[in-house]
Amino acid sequence: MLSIRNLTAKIGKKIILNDFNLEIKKGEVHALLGPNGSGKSTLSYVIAGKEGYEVDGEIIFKEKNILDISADERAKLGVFLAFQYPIEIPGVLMNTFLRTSLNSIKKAKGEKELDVVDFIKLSKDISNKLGIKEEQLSRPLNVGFSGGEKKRSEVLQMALLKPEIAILDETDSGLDIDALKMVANGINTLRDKERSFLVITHYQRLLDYLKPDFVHVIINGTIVKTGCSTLAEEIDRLGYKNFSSV
Amino acid sequence: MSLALTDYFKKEFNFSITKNTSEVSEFKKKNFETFLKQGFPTKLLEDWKYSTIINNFDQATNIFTSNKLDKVSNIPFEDFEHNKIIVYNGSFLTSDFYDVDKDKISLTNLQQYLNEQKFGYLKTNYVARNTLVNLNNAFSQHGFHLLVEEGSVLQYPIIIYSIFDKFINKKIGFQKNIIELEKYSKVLIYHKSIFHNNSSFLNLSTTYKLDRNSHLKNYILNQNNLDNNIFRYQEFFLSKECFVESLTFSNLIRNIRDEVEIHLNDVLANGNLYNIQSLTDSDDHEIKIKIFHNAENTKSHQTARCVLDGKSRGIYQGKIFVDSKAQKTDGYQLIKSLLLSDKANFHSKPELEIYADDVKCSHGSSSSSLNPDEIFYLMTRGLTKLAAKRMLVKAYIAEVLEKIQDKYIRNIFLKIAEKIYE
Repeated sequence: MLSIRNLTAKIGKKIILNDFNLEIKKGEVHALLGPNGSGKSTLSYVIAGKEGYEVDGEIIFKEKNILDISADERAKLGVFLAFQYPIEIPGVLMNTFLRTSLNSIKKAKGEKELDVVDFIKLSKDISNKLGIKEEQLSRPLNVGFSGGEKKRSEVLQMALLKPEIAILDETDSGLDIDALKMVANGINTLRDKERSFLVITHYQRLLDYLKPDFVHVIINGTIVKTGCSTLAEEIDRLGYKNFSSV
Repeated sequence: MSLALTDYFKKEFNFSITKNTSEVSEFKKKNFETFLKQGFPTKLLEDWKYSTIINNFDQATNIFTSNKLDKVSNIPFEDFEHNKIIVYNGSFLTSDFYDVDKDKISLTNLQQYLNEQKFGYLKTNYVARNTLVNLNNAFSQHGFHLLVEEGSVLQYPIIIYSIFDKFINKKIGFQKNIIELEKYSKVLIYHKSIFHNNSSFLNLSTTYKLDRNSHLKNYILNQNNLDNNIFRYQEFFLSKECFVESLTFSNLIRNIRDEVEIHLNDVLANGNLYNIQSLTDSDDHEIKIKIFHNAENTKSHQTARCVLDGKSRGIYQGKIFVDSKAQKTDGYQLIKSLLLSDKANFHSKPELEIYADDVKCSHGSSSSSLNPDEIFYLMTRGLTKLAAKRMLVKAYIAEVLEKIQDKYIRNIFLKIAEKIYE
């Protein structure tokens, strides 16, 4: 599904990802943990196609090196990034944005685009499941949303676009326990054998709900350890001090 | 440059006043004398220092006098119910009002109105602050006067279709309209210009007089100007508890200077002014706003959004003046520009001049380019870079349009923005 090989990313002389390797198969959920500044968000940006990094190596997705294509082409191929800090865009109504986005992806896949009526029905249905108020859909994108509303909005977008690989960059940060459960449920309902997840987090509590297949620790832009869910529990107890010398 | 033109105006002037009463002739003479004394504006004047339209005064060298046709066809009327006023090459041509609104207004041509001298217009307006307005006062013959009668609320909006065609090519066109709202009246006016002409210099002026507790919504579309230089002057006089909402939306405009003066002359007068510039190629648009808070508890709000691409140039000079009597004034001004090209440029000059000590006035101005993080966010949702940029620009404009109270007009302008950046 997603194969990251010898990936290096730098800005100027600063190396952020250093010979990074990761293999995610169909249907797997991988968790990536690491201290601040270890390269987690950069990894998510590089996979999603953000410009401004000097990148070397390969990211193979559906047998294609996606480093050669733009962010929108990656999205159309099935890559989704739930942002740690979703961008506020005044003037773009959430509904308009979601429908434009969904129809861009559908068009690229050769599927029938949704008209306004069908789209509203679909978006309301998913919103209700995620505890998103309908009035939020007619507000400007992420403007004035609380931290929890922003994160739920990201999960709503993921549920609408149905990507094949979803990268969740600290989607749990800033959520209270009820919102966390709701977001985790939203993610779990999307889990199937064709869809994979890379969950970037600082906390064990999201992983309690998601139960990842693999847990990786990233330090200084490189994965230094891979294990099962007990690795996350260990980090939750002891922190990253055992990995800092690597 | 303009000396020959001034000499030409001198010759034409005597002829132009023959059809007027002595009072009107006097009014015109005073204005013309002021023009002769001060001449055309130059870049030495603070209000004109960014202007390029001053380089083009002699683009046209003869005054357009009268139309040869008494009917205009193929006017692109809006497809919702509205009252119509048709102005052709600066002259009032015809009108079409719904029966339900007919008795609420009176409409006369400018000549007749000036000769009847209502509301002291001739007394208040002979010393203009701008010599192009003096020139307009001296030469305008063919506009209209619209009166909305006391207590009347028009059921349908009025659209003023101003059509300019080839007969005014390379000529100087003057147009003056006077719009008067009596007490407790309400009206919505949408000004739509249709240009089929070239290389004209159009000097357009509208005076709005609002009597107590009247409400005016006033929207202007500046679009598809082929090759004309246009000076448009609007002045608003507001009495007690009056309200004005005014929007000017400019796109594909060649070279236009829009000048607006709002006089808040009595308590609780309130003026909201919105400007949108969507400029490209070598469009050049100057906006000059002056808001005069002349009484206590008056309120003004200015919002401008300017999007500049190509080699276009946008200028916004906005001044809030607060008289010493105007305590409790609330004045706000925010000017934002978005530069889409390295060759586009924007000049902003917000000003406050305050002589009262208990007021709330704020102003701000910023210029930026599109935010790459916003573009990336939209691209990760499947929008191409171009589509993402267009969505952001539309949003930037829509933020102001969403403030427009009338939903039909709001949708018209939203559709225009949609079409520009589709």
